[in-house]
Amino acid sequence: MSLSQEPTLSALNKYFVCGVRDITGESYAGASGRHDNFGNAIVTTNGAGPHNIQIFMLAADGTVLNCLPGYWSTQDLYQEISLAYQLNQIWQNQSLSVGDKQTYFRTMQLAHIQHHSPAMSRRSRMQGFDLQYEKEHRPNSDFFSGYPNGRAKTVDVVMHQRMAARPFVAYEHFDVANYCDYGKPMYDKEEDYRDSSGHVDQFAARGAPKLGNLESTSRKGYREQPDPRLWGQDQSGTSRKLWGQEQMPAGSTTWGLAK
Amino acid sequence: MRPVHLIATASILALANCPIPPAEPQALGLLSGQLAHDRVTKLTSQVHWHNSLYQAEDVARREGKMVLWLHMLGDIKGDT
Repeated sequence: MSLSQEPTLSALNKYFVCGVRDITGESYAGASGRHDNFGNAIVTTNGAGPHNIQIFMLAADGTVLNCLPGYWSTQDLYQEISLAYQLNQIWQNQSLSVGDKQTYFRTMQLAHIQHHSPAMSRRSRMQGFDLQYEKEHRPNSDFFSGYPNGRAKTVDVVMHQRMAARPFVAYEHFDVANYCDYGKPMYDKEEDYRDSSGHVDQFAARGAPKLGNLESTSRKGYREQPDPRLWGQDQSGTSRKLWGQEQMPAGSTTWGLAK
Repeated sequence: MRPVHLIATASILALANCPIPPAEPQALGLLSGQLAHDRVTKLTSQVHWHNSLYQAEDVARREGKMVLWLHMLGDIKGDT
C-alpha cells in the first residue's frame, strides 16, 4: 500500500485528517480477489483498479480538491497531494470570488499535467487488458479523444482533465461513478496465487474468493481471466523493479507544500 | 554525423511528437504477505483512520488540515 510509504506517510500525518469508507455494494464499485491480512499484494501502475479505490483529498468543509482513481505510486501520490495543498490555499482565500477560484482550479489541474515527469507518465499507462476493454466498450472515451490511430492518453493526464471539469465540487455532489469509470470493473492480479517470478497458478486461482460488486463483472463482453499476455509483464523476468518502492529524492518538486 | 547518431536523432524527433512515452515492459512487483501485512500495520498504527466523514471534517476544521478520504473495497486493516 503506497500510502504507508514515504514521503506520503509523513504528508498524511502533517497535512491531513484521514478517513476510510468501504465502498462494497456501491453501484460504481468494481470487484477484486479477496485477500486476508497476510495475503500477497502487488505493486502496479498508477490508476489501476479505479472502480475499487478512490483517494479523495478534501478541504475541511468537504470540497473536493483532488481525487485519484485506483492505485498510485507513493512519489506520484505525493505530487498530487502537493497540488491539493495549493488548491486548498486557493479555496480558503477569502479575497477571491468563487468564479476566480474555479478558474484557478481548472488552470492548475491542467497545468499540473505539464509537471508530470516522463517516469510518472510511464507509471500511468493503462494496462493492456484495461486498454482493450476501454477500446471495446467505450470507443468514444476521453482516453482516445484527440489521439488517432488507437493511441491513448495516460491515466495521469485524463484524471486531471476530468478533475478540471469538476472545480471545487462538494464531495456529496461529486459524480464518482463517471469520474472513475474506465477500464474493467474487475481488477484482480491473483496475488495469492502468483509466485515470485510472476507466474499465476490459474487452476488454484479459479476458485478464489471475490470481493465487491460482482454484478459489475457480468456486463456484456466481460472476461474474468484476462489474457496474461495483456498484463504487460516483462516475460524475461529480468526486470523486477517495483513501482512505488523508490524513495522521494531530497529537493524534489513539492508544488508548494510547506516544509 | 555517424549513422547511429542520425537514427538516435530521428528517434528523439519522433518521440517529441508522440503523446505517450515509448512502450517498455511493465514491471509488476509482488509483495509477500508478510511485507504487505507490515505496510498495512504501519499505515493503520501511524495514522488514525476515521470511519465518519463528518467527524474527519470536524477534526480537520479544528486542526486546520485537509481530509484524505479513502474509498476502498473491504477493510483497511487487511481484509481487502
